[in-house]
Amino acid sequence: MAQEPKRNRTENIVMFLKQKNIPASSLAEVVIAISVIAICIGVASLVFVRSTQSTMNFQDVKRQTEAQSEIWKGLFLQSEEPEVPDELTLKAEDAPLDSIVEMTYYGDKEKLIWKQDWWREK
Amino acid sequence: MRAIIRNHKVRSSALGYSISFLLIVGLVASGVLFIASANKRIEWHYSLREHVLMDNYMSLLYGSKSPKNGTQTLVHSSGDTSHITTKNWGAYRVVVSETRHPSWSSTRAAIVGYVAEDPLAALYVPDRRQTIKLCGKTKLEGTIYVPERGLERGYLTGKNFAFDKLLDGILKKSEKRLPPLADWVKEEEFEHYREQSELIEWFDHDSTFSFSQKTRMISSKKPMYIRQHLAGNLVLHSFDSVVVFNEAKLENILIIAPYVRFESGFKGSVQVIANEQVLCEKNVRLLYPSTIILHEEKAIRGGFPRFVRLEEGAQVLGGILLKSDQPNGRNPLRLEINHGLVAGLVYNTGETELKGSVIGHVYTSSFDLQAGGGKYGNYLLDATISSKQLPNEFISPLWLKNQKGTEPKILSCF
Repeated sequence: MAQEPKRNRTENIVMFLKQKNIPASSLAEVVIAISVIAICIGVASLVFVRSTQSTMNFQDVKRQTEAQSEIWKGLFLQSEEPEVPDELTLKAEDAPLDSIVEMTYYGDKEKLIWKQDWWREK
Repeated sequence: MRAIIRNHKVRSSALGYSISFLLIVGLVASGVLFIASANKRIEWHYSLREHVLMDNYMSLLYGSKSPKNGTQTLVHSSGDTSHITTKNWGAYRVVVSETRHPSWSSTRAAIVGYVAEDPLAALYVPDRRQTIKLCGKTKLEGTIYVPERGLERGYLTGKNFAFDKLLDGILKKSEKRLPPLADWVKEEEFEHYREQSELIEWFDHDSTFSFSQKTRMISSKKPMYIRQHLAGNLVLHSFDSVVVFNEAKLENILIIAPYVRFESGFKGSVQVIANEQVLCEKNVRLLYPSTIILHEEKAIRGGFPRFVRLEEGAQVLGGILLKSDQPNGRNPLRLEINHGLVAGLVYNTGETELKGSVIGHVYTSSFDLQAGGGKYGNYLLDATISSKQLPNEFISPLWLKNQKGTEPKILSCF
């Protein structure tokens, strides 16, 4: 029995395409489509990452709300200075007016959370 | 379905799919971008508004702590600018703060009172060598200053003193005169407000006047009848009388007239400056912060008696002041509280007939009681005077000369 000669991989693919009758133009389309889809996914993921980075971090918003809550409480009770929530630090700094102090809430890594003027108790 | 597709030969290509996908991804990406930018803008907007509101409220407190009246400007570290105006308004002060940011502004006004440095006496009666007799269910609570002869149990209209103790508090000896009034109280008169106000014509519809503008005054030579809703920076003045009907709604306004009458059932906050008579009929409620000042400028020569009268169920939350430039011993000023309630400070250079309650402080030259067809001097019958029951948050007017105000308290904010 005569043995069928061995074919390399390229010849196999060509044979397969001949059998399936796939034109070359379709191949080009597939390649272009895959490239376009890849670019789309790349752009979308980039947009998503940048947009989530540009909005404030949820934790920062939470801390800001806590600081605001303490400031309102201090204003209504006319406290000497507002209270400091957990995870925040409060620094009192001089303002141009002697009778005013700048109260600044800082978060992690000295990140400024909120700044509010306060009266200086005499 | 497959058969339909085969029959109609619906064809597609990879490029078509990819364009559709491109469109979908583009839409999603634009949506994400839009949401992100909108979120950022909303966050920025609310943060800005929060800053303006906080800076404005802080400026309001800053203005109330300022001892002088006038206008001042405050530039905040956030970049907001506040204009603060402070002025006297009856027995209290008004502070107006307007805070501006290029894209937003906030204006707020408040009536402010001051916590007295030293607590006031529950009762002060000058020493004229008299004894104060307590009858029925009379209750005295707090520190009282009375003549050297002090307090005694009394008997009137079949009623003995009902309790074991005459006083729940501390008894001290009083001086021969009432503590003097503060100088600014003398300015509380028509001329003072006319200089500051802009006259407007009478109108009979509802209206609100902002404290950020100049005070408006309606002045009339005829009696004035109030039935509408009036609020804010307004002075109602009549050379004859002002009658406030029970359907009227008044908030923080001033009334100046020789004679003022509140019809039975009226409810509102108002400050009254009268020369002759003030009558609060049954169940009138002058809400906090309200005051009545009766200032007798000329002595009575056989005319009407000068009095402030609270009928049954009437309430004044704030204070009542009766003073005379020319006191007449035969026709003294009279304060009559007939089963009514006053919360705050009562100061009377004349005589007081107390058949109700004063939760706060009573400074009076003498007590007088009409009961059982007779008139009795320095008797108290079924009366309550208590400074202990007055809440700490309640701010009385600083009418006394030696009273020093310390911490400001916002009584009403609008």
